[in-house]
Amino acid sequence: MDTILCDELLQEIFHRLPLSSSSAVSAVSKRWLRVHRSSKTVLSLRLSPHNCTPPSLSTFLSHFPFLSSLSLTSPAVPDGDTAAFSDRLLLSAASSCPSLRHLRLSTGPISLFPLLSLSTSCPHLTSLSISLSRPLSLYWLALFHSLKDLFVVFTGEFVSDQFDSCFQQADAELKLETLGLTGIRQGDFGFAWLWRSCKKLKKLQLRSCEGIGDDASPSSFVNCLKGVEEVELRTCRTIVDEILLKLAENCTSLMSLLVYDGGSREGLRQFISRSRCDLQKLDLRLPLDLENNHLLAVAESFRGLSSLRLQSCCLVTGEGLRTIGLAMSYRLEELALINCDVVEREPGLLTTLGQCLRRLRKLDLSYNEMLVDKEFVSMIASCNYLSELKLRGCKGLTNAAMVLISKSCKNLESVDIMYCGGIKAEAVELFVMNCPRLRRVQVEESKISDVARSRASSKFIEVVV
Amino acid sequence: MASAPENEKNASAPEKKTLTLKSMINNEEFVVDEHVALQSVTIKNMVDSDCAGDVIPVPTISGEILALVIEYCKNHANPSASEDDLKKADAGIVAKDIYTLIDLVLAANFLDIKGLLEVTSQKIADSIKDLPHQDVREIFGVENDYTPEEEAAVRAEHDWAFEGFP
Repeated sequence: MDTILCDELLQEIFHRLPLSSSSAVSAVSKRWLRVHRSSKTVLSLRLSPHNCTPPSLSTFLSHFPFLSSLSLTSPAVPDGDTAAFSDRLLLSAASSCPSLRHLRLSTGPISLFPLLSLSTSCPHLTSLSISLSRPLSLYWLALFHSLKDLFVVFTGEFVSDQFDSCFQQADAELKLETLGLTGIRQGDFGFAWLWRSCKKLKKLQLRSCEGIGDDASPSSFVNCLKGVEEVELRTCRTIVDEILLKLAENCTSLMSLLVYDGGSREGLRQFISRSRCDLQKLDLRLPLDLENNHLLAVAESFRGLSSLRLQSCCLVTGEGLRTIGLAMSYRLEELALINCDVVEREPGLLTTLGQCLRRLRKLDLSYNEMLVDKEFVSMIASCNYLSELKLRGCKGLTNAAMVLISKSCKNLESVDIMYCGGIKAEAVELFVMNCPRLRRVQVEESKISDVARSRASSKFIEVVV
Repeated sequence: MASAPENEKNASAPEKKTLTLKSMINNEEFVVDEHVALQSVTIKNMVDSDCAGDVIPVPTISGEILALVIEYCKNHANPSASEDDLKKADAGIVAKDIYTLIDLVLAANFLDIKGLLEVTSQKIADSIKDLPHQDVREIFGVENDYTPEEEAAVRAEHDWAFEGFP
């Protein structure tokens, strides 16, 4: 008889099992399967017409009474009617999981009707990630009263019968705090209402956007920026300058800015010199025109900066970075110079940075392939408080560098030395044995010796391969 | 750490109340300081509602298991024990075979000792996580009520339904 452990005790144990044990536990008996399913709150389904039809999805999901997060993806889209397939999946999910809080659908664009149904059947939904096809409509958002995080990918071709802008919807009071939009194109309508209705936005993420909606006046967009603390702009080349200017002029709450692939010389300069916010984090990738002048201005304008991340900045020289180092010496806690050839070009630069930035906790020098031991070691000797170090793809570093890291950085908790061809297994072993606070190391499996592996497991060090 | 013995002396200076726990399986008796025993919510409720006599009978728990439970409670009643010490001591208590662990988790559940329930459940999970389902069935005495088709369907499910939220 299978009654040694009651359902509650089985649950206690199931909660502590790794994902890899799910299959074995479910195969034990029908009771174990039922208890195991009801112990799950988070589920991802990879659907295809072969393993799942919308009605069978409904039945399947009804076995998971406590599901709060659900993600649906379908790698192979059924022929033809993808939109109808996603719509029916969403309807099934909505009706079977009333207590859902997080829902992500990557099965294809969704139309209006299932969204309306979702808003009534899952009233507690706080996070939603979907894709929508043109013509775009966003008014349904007003029906989701608990929604805080929204991520939408816009797809599809323009249709001649674009959105009717005479039909003016009254503004709503959306509770959205995080908004992530991908793929707004020039000629898209329907955004003025969205910008005007987002008064509580804390985080804005735009990806591959060419515009902010043709019907959106500058003032409506500015409305949503007022309280924003975090902005991320990825591959939005055509609108970066405009948004940076609006941020500089209207947003004093900004704490973190990320710009990947975009931002002109003048646009960046204007933002840095005119912004009145107290920026804490700045992350720039491939700002082709970023020069020393910009860094000087950053050092001057953003006195509270604690994190500076630069990736693939080719015009910056040692002078600019030294200025930053001197000006930020007691504040900067995170520095990333990823694939920045200045690191390799200017001997002594890293030494200076190490000596200036005494409070550095996180350092990322990944993909500086020509970086050699001598330069790196002279920096690391001064970075005694470092807790996180990333050296991924630094092919020029050797075993000697690892020895010095373990001598200088006694507080190190996490290290990434993936793709560092010059660092061999014996150095990894020595390092794992001699780093008292190490919690996580990322390195190729072939470089983990048996000794290093058993040390890692006895000290609860996570090895990521 | 140097102050630990001193603390104990101070604590034992005033007159201390003790309780006697008696295993009803093999009649073994354990005399325990009251504040140690009170970590069990079940015993605390009995004492609070004056249902506890001089000897508290503990049904369904053997003396061997009761000794482990009391060891756990003693460790956690010591105010000068550091978190690291407790972690090490807990690891020692649950370093047992799976059948003892099952008895221990039942005892922790009956006596309502949350911390012990958690470490024991974790240890059981660690012990069975890599076992094939046939072994799990045997350990827990579970009868297989699947048809071969049903079992295959349940196992196939894991190719497309998995935990996590990517």
